[in-house]
Amino acid sequence: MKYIKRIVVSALLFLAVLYPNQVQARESTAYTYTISVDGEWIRTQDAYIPGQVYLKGFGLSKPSDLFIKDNIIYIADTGNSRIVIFNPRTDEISTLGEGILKGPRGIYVHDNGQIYVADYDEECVFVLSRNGAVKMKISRPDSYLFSENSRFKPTNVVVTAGNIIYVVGEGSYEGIMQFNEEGEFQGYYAANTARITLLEKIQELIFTQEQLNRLFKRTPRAIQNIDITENDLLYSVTQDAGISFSWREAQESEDNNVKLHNLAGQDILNTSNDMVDEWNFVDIAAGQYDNCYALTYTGLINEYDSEGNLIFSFGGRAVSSERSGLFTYAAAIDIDNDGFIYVLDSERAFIQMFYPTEYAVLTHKAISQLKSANYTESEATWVDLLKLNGMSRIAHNGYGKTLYLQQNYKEAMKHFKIANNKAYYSECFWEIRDAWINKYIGTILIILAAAYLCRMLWKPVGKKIFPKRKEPKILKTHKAPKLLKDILYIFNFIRHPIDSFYNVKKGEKGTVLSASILYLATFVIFMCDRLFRGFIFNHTSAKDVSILSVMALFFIPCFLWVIGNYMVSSINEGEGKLRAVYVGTAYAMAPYTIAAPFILILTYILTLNEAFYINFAWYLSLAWSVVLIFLGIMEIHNYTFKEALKNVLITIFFMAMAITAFAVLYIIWGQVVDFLNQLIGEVTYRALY
Amino acid sequence: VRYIKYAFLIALAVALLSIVVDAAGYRNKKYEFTVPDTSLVEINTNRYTQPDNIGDKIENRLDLEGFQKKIENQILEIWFNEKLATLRIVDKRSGYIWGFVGTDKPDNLNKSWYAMANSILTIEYYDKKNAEKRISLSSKDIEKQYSWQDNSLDCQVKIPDLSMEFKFTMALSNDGITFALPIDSLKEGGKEKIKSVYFAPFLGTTQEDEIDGYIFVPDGPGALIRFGKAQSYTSGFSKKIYGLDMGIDALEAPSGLMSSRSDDYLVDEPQVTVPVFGMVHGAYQNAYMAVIENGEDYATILANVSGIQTNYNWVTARYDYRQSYMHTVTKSGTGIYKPQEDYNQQDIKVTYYFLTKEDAGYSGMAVKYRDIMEKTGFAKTERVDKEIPLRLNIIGAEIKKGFLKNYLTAFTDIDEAVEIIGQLEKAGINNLTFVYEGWQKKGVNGSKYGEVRFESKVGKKKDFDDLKGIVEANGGRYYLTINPVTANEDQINKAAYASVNISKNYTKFTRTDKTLMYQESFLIKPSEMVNYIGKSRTKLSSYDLSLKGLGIRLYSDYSGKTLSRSDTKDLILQELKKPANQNIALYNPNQYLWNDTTEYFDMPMVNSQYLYETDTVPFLQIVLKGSIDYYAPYANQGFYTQNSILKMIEYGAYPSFIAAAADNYELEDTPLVDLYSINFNDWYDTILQVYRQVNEALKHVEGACITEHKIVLQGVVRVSYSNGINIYLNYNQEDKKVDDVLIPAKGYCIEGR
Repeated sequence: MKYIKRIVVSALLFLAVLYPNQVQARESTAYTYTISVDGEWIRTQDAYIPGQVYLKGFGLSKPSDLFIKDNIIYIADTGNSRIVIFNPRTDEISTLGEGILKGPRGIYVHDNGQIYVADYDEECVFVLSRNGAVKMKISRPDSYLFSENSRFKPTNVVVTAGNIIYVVGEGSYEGIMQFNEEGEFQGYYAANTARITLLEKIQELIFTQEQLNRLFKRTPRAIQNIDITENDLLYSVTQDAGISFSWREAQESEDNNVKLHNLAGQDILNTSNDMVDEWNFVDIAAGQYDNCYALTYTGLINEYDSEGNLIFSFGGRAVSSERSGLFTYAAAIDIDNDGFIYVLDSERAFIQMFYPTEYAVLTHKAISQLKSANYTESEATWVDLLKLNGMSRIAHNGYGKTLYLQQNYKEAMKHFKIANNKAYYSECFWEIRDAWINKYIGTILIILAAAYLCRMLWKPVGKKIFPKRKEPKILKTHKAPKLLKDILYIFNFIRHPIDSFYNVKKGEKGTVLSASILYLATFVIFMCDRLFRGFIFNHTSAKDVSILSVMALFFIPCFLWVIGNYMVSSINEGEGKLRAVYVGTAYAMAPYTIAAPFILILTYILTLNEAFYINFAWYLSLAWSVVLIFLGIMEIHNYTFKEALKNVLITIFFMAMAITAFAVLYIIWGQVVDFLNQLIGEVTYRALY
Repeated sequence: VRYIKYAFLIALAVALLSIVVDAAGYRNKKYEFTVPDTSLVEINTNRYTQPDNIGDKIENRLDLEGFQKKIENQILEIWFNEKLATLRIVDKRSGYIWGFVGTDKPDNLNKSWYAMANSILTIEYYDKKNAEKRISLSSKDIEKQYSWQDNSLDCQVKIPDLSMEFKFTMALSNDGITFALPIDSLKEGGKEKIKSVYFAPFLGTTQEDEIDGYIFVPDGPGALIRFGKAQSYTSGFSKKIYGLDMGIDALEAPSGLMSSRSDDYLVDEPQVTVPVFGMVHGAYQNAYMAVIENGEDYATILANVSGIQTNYNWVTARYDYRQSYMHTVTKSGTGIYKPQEDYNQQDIKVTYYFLTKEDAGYSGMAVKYRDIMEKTGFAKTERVDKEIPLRLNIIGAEIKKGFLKNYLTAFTDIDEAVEIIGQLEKAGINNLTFVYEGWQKKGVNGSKYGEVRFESKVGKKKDFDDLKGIVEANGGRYYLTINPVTANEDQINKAAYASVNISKNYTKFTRTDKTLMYQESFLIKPSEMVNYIGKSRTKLSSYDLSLKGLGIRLYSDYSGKTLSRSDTKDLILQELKKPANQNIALYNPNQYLWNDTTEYFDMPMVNSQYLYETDTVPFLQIVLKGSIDYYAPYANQGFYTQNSILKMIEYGAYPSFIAAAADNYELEDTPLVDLYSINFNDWYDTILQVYRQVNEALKHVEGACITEHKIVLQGVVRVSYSNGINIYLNYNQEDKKVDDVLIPAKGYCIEGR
């Protein structure tokens, strides 16, 4: 509700829009965006520029759809219950369907000249001839296939070359309605799947079928609008109607909101569900080059390629001023044969046209060339594109792919790294590593063999020269400083954990100082492990992370654990002192502390194909540390297994409570400060004016 | 039989082959990736000037019945009706009668609107409850004493209910009428507060498209609003002269996209930099142009076409004495709107000039305005070069996000800059306006505000001197860029430097994009700003300076002793007037700075593109061509198409590029991420191509003034210069022939050489 209020307020106020950074005389009134190499929105050269405005002041009333056939625009003029036919090149206008239509919401014109109109108010789909005569009227199907509870409120219609009619209606939860040439209902098509929460999954496991039926009805999200491609495939857009204004949540919805359906109704646009999409799409238009344009009612237009990657995003909302290229309530979008984009503004009742720039055409060309395996030409096009925007992810990826397919792995790797494309980077790295190994395998083997031979030869000779071979110095010698010995005692925990903990408890090994150094060392290793892994295995970019957050992530749990464990154990008859817990915990992290550096090195050598080794080693070291901590508790406090388990659980509970308490205090404190501020402000205002 | 068998086999093979070929052809469906012909849909937009409808003579729609002739000179007669406080102006040259609406109240105006429409003066005030009210001179509640002199009227105005009084004058001078309201005559006595004043707001008003004509507003380069059928718009044209006063006006970005993309998607609207507006009744027949001589710092130009509020087309200026602002009560920004306590100390003076025949159009207005400027002391002449200048903005160093701390990236060091100059020289481009940005210690957005030190990663002071030598030896100019107006939180100590607005918050611009390195940029206190400029001018006295943001930002400051907008303006002018042997380049400067501008960067090339605006016209350009060298915005930021090149030629603007030696992706994670493409080598060919085309045309008119700008046909423009040269441009996709000149498609033609 708060959000809505803010929108209304900002629409009412006359708002100044000023950006201080760059003065630019752009042709366009809104910036074009693309996705940057960091996966964030970034401005780019204008891809589409607003051209003429059509039918402004003609008298359309709440129009809701437009369809373009052979460069003629057909408009569903809902408020006037008619179809308006407009030729933007000659400005000729004619109308159709007066007296027949009641509330036309969607329109489609077939190759054979028939006009299909989805009439929302009349609850039917009209099939009109070229001159407006009714040829067929499809009303609510009588079929048992048609959902009992649904009404027939069609909002849009498309027809395949084979005369299969697809209708989308209000609340199309069941999917797109499919009719044959005679207007007989054939069934539903391409329904969205309902999302299942974790709770629902658990309920599904436990409850009986009857209980399940009674408990909840999961309705999948309704399909909002559809369009058809040249090859009779269907695009659909879905809105998160239930979530409405809180788009942030909608964004997290697992399903994509833009889909391209194959004959079975499955989404073939982007199967990994990680599209850059919006929750408020109202219409979609199939483009000329297997691309598509999705429109939100706020006037934002996203263009996607055939794999569902975002190419451009442009357009915008007219909030405080009416400038061309911006919309008050965008309702429909379509493309003509020249690639011009027409967007219908329902509130302002006009059509705004956009035309593509060189940049847009070049991008389409590059994508198409790459797709049709035209590598050499595509390479040149991508280079041109990178000149125009050096931070566009799609450009670096595209260029990288052409290089990769031409087996120029080294260059390709560079661009995949910039584009943050780990999968392809890993492939390139594998190829390079493979070549390297192939090249040097002989040398390496020879060196190894030579080394072995030397060793074999050295053994008898060496014994003669150095008769008493010394053991490794540091560990055994008594001369080494105590601190160093204490620190190196960490290796003992790998082999003899229980004895070692005992020694720590007794105070014979390990001091507060050595433990502190170990904490610090573990922290540094932890930080490197988080931030400075090899590119393929690195999931956080160091430049976006503040050192404080990493420190907090490491030291706060450590601190809470040590304090919590000591306090819990002291009331639970634990024997350990605070020192023992502190020192013991530091040493218990030994497996991680020792293994992580090696894993770190491995991340620079291995590729995604060998990711298993890295993950396995990492989890193993972690699990081992956890086991050691547990053993440490048993030993230090002299607990049985059961007691130790209880202790651990209570300690974890304590940690959770401590964090919650701090959070609550923090929030309340903020509220109190705010309240006082308001009070003082209010009082001074009343007193002074 | 065997032959038949063979024939059959061959036929079969051919058929199969053709199927395969066909299938292959289908699979590799070839698209043609060419830019479609967009010339028609482009030139029909309001980014271009539309041809004038040269139609019938505009007949008088008003008469003089009920009016008495009060004063006159050789050109104008003023007739007055004291009851309605309304007038008629007769232009003796053409016999055309200017006025407001008829003497009988039309049905489509209510009483209040009618009073405003017909009165020569309307005031707005805040009543006791701070609600806005309006009263016009014809009202019975106003006591007025007219005293007519030889060629002027003095009118004493008293409003007993509001205990308010003031005096205004209307004087006749040659071809103009001047309205004035001296500030010392204004007296307030009651609880009501004066808000603003209008003079003759409905002068020349028309209904819908009853006659052919347009409103001119100086939106960016200039915009026309042609009269048309009534249509509904949410608001009319309303822009403060010299831009918003950031010290009072709200600086919020709009929200409402409701998407994952951030809400700062709007391209900045150009602002009004000249205090001028006008109206034309019939192109090349009758027109007036209003020039605000005093009080423009607080004036707003309003233009309304039929459909907005009323059915009338009208344009005027509102002179504000007070405005309401958000008085915040809490830290989170909630508060109440209330008017300013004290009124602005401003005299108001505006002159309406009447134009006829060939002068009656936007082009004639611009020429007239140039004359007026010259008469009032604007004396600058363009430097005449053999070849036109090319502005090259080079990025030196900039900070980049990093782990633990930001680090510095050198985008172009001195050696690379020398190489860039060498490459251009090799291509024959010597007349460079070379602008170095980010030369300071820690780069463009990392340098401490107020410091004047060179970044060693770019070069030592000596290197900068050497570079200056190279540029100037070639015949170019060398500027160092300083941004004295805005800074981010790391560059300043906010308490010491940031300006404070009337609501007692820091005055700042905020962008909603959370991925930016700096979302906020703070405006600097005018006193500190002037200090910094002064310091830079002494410490860098051997260099020319380009001062970013100074020309276009004018704001009041409430950090200490209140500085009004006019005070800030005076401070800036005082500093710039100090004698120094140093050139100052400004970015899109407001009119009051033109005398102190040696070069004009970022000349606006397009208006705000409001739906009711029908044309963009080169008003600013006609005024300035021949006086100051002015440059188009950076071509590599989306202004490099053939149409853009033609527009540079049409508007007489020299090309600009922003460049660096570093690769484009180096921009990632810097505050300059919005520049997206600046690598010099990538743009080298485009630079040559753009420069050569523009040079080939504009070198013939170096130092000359534009005498006329005219649309001959849709998409065909003729620009006439004072040295007798005409430049014809054709934005169409096909060749056009006008005045016996054949202009190639998407090209230009120079005549009179």
